[in-house]
Amino acid sequence: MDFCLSITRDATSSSIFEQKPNIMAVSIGKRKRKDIDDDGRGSGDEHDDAMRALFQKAFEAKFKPLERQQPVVDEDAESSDQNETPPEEDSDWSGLSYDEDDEEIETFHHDSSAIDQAQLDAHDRKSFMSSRPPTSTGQPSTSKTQTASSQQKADPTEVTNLKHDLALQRLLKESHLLDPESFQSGSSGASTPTTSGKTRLKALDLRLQDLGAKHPATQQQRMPLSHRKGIAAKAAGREQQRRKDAVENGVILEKARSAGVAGSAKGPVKRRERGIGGPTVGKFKGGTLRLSERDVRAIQGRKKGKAGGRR
Amino acid sequence: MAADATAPLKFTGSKFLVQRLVLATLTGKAVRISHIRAASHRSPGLAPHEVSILRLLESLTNGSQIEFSYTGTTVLYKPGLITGSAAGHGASGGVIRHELPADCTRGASYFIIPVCLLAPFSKAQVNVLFTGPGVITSATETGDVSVDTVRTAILPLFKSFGIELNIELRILKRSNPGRDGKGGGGEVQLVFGHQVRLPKTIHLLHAGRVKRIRGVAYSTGVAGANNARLIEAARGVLNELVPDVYIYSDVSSAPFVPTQDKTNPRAKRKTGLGFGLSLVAETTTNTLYSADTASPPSGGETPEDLGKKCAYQLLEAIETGGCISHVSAFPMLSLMAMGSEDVGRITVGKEVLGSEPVIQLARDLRMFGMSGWGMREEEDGDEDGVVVSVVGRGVGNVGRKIA
Repeated sequence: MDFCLSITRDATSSSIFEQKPNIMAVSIGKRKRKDIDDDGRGSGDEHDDAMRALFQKAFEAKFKPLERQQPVVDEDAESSDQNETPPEEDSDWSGLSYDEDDEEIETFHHDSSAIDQAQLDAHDRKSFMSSRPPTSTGQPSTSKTQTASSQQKADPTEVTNLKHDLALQRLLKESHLLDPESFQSGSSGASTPTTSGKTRLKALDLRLQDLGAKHPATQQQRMPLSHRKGIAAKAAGREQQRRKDAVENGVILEKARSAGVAGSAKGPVKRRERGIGGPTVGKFKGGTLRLSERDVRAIQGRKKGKAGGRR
Repeated sequence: MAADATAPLKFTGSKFLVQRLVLATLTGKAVRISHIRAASHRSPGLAPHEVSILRLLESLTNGSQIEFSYTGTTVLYKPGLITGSAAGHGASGGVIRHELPADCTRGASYFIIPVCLLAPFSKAQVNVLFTGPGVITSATETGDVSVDTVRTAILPLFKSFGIELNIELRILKRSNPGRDGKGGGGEVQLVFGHQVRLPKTIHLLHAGRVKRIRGVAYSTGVAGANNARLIEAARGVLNELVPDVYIYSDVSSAPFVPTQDKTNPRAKRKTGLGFGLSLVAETTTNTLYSADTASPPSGGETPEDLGKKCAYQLLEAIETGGCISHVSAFPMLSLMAMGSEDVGRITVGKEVLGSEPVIQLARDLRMFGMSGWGMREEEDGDEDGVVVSVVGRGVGNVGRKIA
């Protein structure tokens, strides 16, 4: 049974099928009967004969008429035994290559569906009897195995392709770290610039942020306010200088993002929540309206200047 | 809508009522149908199932107006927008419950197929639960197919129009026709969640060859052995021609429906006993042919006879050829007419094309302002089919156009 399966699934057998018609017809009859006996679910000899007649008719319509040959079981078994005797000739190729040598081909396409039926059954039933309209895909389970095997075949190239893909993506993302200075310093070693020194840390940090890190790892968490201000001011100054240089040289830079730019001290402008019924001024918390000093000042206004001005 | 300005289109007779109502709803044109069974002395006017489908249309649309004459022999229908099961328009929990009356003689597919045709053009998804003492899920003697056939032979066709996602037809309870072929106790839910602006233009020219046959044998309230006998008989015919035949069996108990008995209001009785078979043949180009038989309510037919009958019916359907069968002609050709302003082509068997419903459909489509059909003989001489070219009018989904 296993032997039959392996042959029917083989893609090459169909091409052979076209070349050698008469031998095939013999083997159909033999194998078919055997299968039915094995399964114990065939509908009898007469049905089998009718099927065979139909297939023969179909075949003769397509190719040339077959010669009448009696299926001889013993002879065939002997020949297959003979086939198995010289195993050392081409040991890496099993089964089918022997058949090719001896011009002994066995194909029975009509049988494959019957064999697969049991495996198909559950999947097919599910797809046909569920509440959704059945999808008209061919044979789901076999196609699944085919795709699985094809994946296995394509594995090594796929893996290398994926690797290259990842490398390219990283290079594109981190290419801005490759400013000339670091490039020169990094090029002293054999490794690529982003795999050593400060740039490596920066690249690592970028990757972490891509994966969802909240703060850059290089940023110091706690430091005196004056230092932080100084750093921010320096960064802002640098950015300003860069933009100025760019304008002078006629280089067009990316748009300045008000929120994200390191130099802008304000940070992103928060939207105030102005729900219906909420206070327009201050914070309502724990049943009390809290007004900050600034709120109070805003409410009172600059009394002196404005009031004086109007009167 | 545009219908307000113009006079309603006038039709007569009770035949093709559903087809006209559906086209009216899709095109947004008012219709006035008169002389509905006017000659009948015993039951003039609209039948219960026709009233029921008008109510269903009303619940699926927003702003429809329906006016009956005193005897029910004339009805004026001004369609509204197809809203589907949007909340607030008769849908509770996103589901429209549609109760069919106990004296309904038509199968559930009589209601489901029109809804399926409206649903792609609805504003929200369509979710209708057919329930009540009149739901017959099996095939009926009045010529309706079973809900299995709708699910396996008609709904897959929508895929070629680009309508394929989130479509479900749940058969919650099966029922054959009850006594005298009236009523049942089934329950079917149709979920149609794929709405489009315009269906795609299709070109189905080759019917292909039958590659497999599937089917469902169902028996409600009778022994499951009936299913086995149906299947055996059908396979006996089909197996010699197609090796890949598989018929599933579904056995269920008979539904209980309340009796209309005033002395004992809680009394229930079993109804809808019987069995039936639905077969679908699929070709290499995914054309579907279907056949349906069910045991008559009077009984007296063996499962073997029915199984064979169904198999022969399927062979007949395959013999007519073409890419659509009698069952699917109305939905397919109407969807093609609703498509974008482009020529869609489909091969139709001559027997299907020459049938009364299809010819009437072509005339009705013209009445509703659609373009006529172009026809030419199929070029491959071996099959006697006709290639019908249908130019869409880009009517499509009015709800989607505005919103």
